[in-house]
Formats: sequence, C-alpha cells, structure tokens
Amino acid sequence: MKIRLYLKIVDTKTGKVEVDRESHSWVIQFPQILCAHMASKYTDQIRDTGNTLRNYQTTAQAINVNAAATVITYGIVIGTGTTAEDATQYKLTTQIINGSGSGQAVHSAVTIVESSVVGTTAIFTVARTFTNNYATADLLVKEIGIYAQVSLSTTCYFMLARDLENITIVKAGGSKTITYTVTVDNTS
Amino acid sequence: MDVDLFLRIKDMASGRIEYHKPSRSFVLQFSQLLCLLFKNAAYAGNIKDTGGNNRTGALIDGSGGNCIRANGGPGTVNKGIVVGRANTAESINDFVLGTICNHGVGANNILYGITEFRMEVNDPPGTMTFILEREIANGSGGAITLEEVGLYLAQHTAAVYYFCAIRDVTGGIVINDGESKLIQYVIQVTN
Repeated sequence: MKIRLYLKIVDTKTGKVEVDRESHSWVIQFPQILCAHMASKYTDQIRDTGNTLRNYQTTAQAINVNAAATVITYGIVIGTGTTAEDATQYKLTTQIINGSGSGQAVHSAVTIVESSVVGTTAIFTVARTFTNNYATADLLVKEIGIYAQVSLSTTCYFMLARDLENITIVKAGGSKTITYTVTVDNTS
Repeated sequence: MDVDLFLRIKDMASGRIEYHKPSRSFVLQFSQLLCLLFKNAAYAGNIKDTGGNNRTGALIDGSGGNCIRANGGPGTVNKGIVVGRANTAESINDFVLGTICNHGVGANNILYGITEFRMEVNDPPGTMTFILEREIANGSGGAITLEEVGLYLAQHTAAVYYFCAIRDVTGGIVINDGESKLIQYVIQVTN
C-alpha cells in the first residue's frame, strides 16, 4: 500500500490534457515531516528549501501548500532546471519567479479539493494555474514541485515533491493548470 | 521515490516476526487529515472520528496543535497503535476498529505500552524506514485472539478528537496470558 502522487497538466485555454501520469518523486522531506507530525517529535533535522537543516518542533501545525496568488515560497512551483529527479533534493534547481516579465509566470492561488472516495481509493487534489503574460516569448517549464510552509522556530519552507516535465506556456497570455493528486488506497 | 506502509508483529519473548505484510488499509480519514494539513484552513467536509461523529470546520485553529499525533502513552487506547478482535473486512470507509481491546487486565483486555517512533537508515540498503511501534501484553488470565490492528490519530487544538487512519485485518494472532507482542507500522521510503 502506497501513498501515491499523480501529476496532471492541462492547457487552460484549450482544455487539452498534456500530462497525466504518476509523479516520479516524492522527496525525503515529505515522509520526514509526516512522521515528525505523527510522532510529535523528530530527532533528525529536516532540510528546508534554503538548504538549512531545521529541527522539528511541536509548533508545526500544518504542512501548508495552500498558497495565495503570487506566492512562490510554497504551493505548487515551477522551474527551468533539468537536474535528474532524486529523493534527496530539497528545492527546484532554477525556480521561476512570479511576474509578467521574461522568464516569469503569474502564479494563481492554489486550490485544494478535499478528499473523496473513488472505489477503494481516497483522493484529494492540489492545483495551481500559471500564466505567461510576457508578450514576445514562450515560457519553457522543465521542473515542477510542491513546497510546503511549516511553522517551526521560524516559518520554514520544505520541498515535498519534484518532477521533471517539459511544458511550454505560450506567450501573451497562455496558461497551464498543474494538478497534483494525492491518493491512499485500500488494497495491498 | 516510493512511500510504502507495512505492518509487522513480533513476539517479544522469542523475537520471531509473526506477521509482516504490506498494510492494506489507509482509510479515508488519513486522506482527509493529510488534506487538512496541506490546506491549513477550515475543512468543509465531514471527518468521522472514532466515536462516529462528523467533525468539520476549523480543526486547525492556530493553537499550536496538529491533527495527526500518534504518540499514545501507556494505557492510552484512543491514540497510537491499537488492536482489536473483529475480523470484518477492511474498507476505505472504516472509522474505528470493530472491537477494540481496552487497556487493562480483565477479560479480552490488553496492556498497552507507549507508542514510540524511530528511524532506520539503509536497512535494507537504499531505504529510509520510519517505525511507529507499540508493545502490548496480555495480563488477562486467558488467551486473546487479535484480528485487527489500527492506528488512531489525535487532533490537538482547542478540543481533542480522535480519528482512525489505518485499519488492517491480520487474521487470528493468539497472544497467550503473560505474553507480549511488538506491533510496528513501518513507513518505508525507497529511493
């Protein structure tokens, strides 16, 4: 029985599904944070997106990925890096920032659809739309990730998953919606 | 990277592992609580607690708790690894064990130790393993046949609610009077 993660990318204008597959890579911070929450303690340190090792604290209430519009420190995030996926990674290689300039994308608010049961599987989804408002060049996305905000002694950010995927967001208003689906099931 | 869940039961006296299989059953509440943690806001839907009550709304209220604590102390049966005697087939919609063994030395009671947590790196090679474990003992004076194992989580905010996150039907595992077992949920991360 696995905690599975699926990645889906849809062109927002045409509705065409461009990617629909199982995510390649939870990274190590996800089970570390999950286990820390369950045990309400954690003896090892957990590496944040700034490459700083953080001690878990019981003040950690959420694994917040529910980012508002323009926020790029948590939520679904995108980048241009092509470094191979690996479970030990702690950040995107080259993150795309929010904006309407060259090489930038307008980050919408994250939307989360709460859990439901499909057959013997319980699922929920996390989605975000990215728009390229730059007038003269397409935006080439190479990597996608999930960052979480966790309140420790200070507010920290951790990467939970990272996928390599080539997508093009066309210039002058093109947009894509990226959806991660988290599933747990009732089969061995 | 895969995140797999296993259930393991070991006899404390002999050290023999009597059960070791992939866990069959996260249940709906685990998905809901994980979603709640990701959302960091009031949950619109109902999350059924172990009492069968639907809980909703601001389960995260800013008071510093979180909603997936499994660290049940000695004798605590509403949080942590728990065992029971019902063999009703698992369902994604299970919200409680069928017949939980209460803490104590009466008939069909179990003595529960503390639910503990530890981590093993590279055992087996290429894995990182997180183990939630609890020792249980039978001081009831008679044999008890365990049929089910579960993991209950507590949501600690202004109020405390308890939710079933995992339920596995193990088949009959007999624990005789005076015997003890170690129950482990093993979250194995394979790169």
